[in-house]
Amino acid sequence: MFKKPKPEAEASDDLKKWSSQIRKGSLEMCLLGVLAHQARYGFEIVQHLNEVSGLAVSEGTLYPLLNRLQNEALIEAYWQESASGPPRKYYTLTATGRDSFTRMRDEWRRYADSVEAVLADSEREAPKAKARTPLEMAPKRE
Amino acid sequence: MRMTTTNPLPPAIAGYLQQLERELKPLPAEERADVLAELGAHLEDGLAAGQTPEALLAGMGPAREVAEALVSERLVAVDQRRGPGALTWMVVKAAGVPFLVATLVLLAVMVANTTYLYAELITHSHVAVGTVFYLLLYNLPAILVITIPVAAMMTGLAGIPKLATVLSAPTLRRMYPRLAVAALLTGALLSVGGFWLNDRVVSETNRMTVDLVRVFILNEKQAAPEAQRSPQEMTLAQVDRRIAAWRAERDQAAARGATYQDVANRDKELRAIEVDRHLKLALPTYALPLMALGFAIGSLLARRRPVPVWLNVGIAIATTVAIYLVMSFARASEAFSGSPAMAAWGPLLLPAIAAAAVWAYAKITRKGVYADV
Repeated sequence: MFKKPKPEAEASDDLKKWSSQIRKGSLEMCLLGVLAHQARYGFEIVQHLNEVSGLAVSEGTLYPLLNRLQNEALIEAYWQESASGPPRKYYTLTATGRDSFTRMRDEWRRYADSVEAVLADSEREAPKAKARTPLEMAPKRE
Repeated sequence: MRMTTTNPLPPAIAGYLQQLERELKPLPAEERADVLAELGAHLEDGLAAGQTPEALLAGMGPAREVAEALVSERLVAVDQRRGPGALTWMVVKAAGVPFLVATLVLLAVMVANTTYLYAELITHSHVAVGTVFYLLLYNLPAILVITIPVAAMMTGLAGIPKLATVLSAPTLRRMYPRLAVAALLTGALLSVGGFWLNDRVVSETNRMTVDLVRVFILNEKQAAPEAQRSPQEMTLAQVDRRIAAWRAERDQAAARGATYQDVANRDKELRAIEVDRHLKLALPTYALPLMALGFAIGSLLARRRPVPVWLNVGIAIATTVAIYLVMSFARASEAFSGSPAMAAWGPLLLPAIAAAAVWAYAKITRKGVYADV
């Protein structure tokens, strides 16, 4: 009844959850970015995001997201026959989508710079903190 | 849109697409075909690129989840175009239609049953058809009093799954706490309304029925004297006055040294009328726990989308039968010993406990049952 997850499993689950959360926020922008220069179809987008960009994206996430962006009129779709294989549904950016993407990209860069600054700062201060031995800290504990 | 499949697909993939088609039922046909063509093309491309069916389907995720996400995206888009008035109307319709349908069906069944019994009056006792018609008419309010609680249960039982198919999960999740409060308030309101109907209207129609039978069938010269009226022909206030009078008479009889048998008979009559008094309050009260029960079961059903019709109808019939069984226990409870209050109110505990149990099992809390969707 009362299953207690092992501490290490819990930690890696938390990391996974956190990792998927930060991906979720940026996926929409990445998807718009992939479509910035050319129209692509679903299979192609998954291949591109996974192999070229190294962003692990599942098909189960991608298609509903494409659907939503289409509902929000950021992308539009058309069907096209292919020389080999089935007809494919291609997605391109709309004018609104392109505008949105540019603003997202700028916002992301500003945000990434702030995050990077905090991380760099944390790494710079790390050795100083390490240098403090328990002996040095002892008097302060009174 | 188009499905040009040249090579036969592996069975796993074909089965997946079939399941997806079933799960996408809430979408309009054209959109469903579009989604199926697109995902079918994806799977074909994947096979052509040398991926195994298993790896492809694993990447896609369970058909149910993909379909739910797609349906939900579409419903969110539709919800955003809808105003708050439209949402209220959808809720009213989702709750009102099952209530009306249940009321009409139960009414039809019970009127048919009564007609069957009364038909004998026409064929054997040669009572005029018009008289029997009025007997049926005067019976309607009494029938309504016991159909209202079951119809109340149907609002949640059928209404919540209905809302889950026409609203997106986020919208439903947002509305859910308010829906729960509205359901309980409506249940309470129906209980009060049912009590009023039973107390003011049914007592009157019962009185008219008895007089009709006396004058037109038994050929008595006049209406029944007040002392002969049964508690079913009286309002709660009238019953209370009679109880007070009978109790005073019983105490007087005991004080002047009446026989043990006399006092025991008076006690027995007092107990019977007290059970009837409590039933006047207890029967309409069923609406509240049954409303809660239907709401909780409906919420559980709504989690598996789309809800098969047979499941919904099956649960509706089974619970209706169970409820009428419990309610008839309440009416027969004069036979049980124990306090008159317990005899009348005791059976009500069953639907109340059932509602609380399903409510707890469905984890209907302040956060709402849809917290995990």
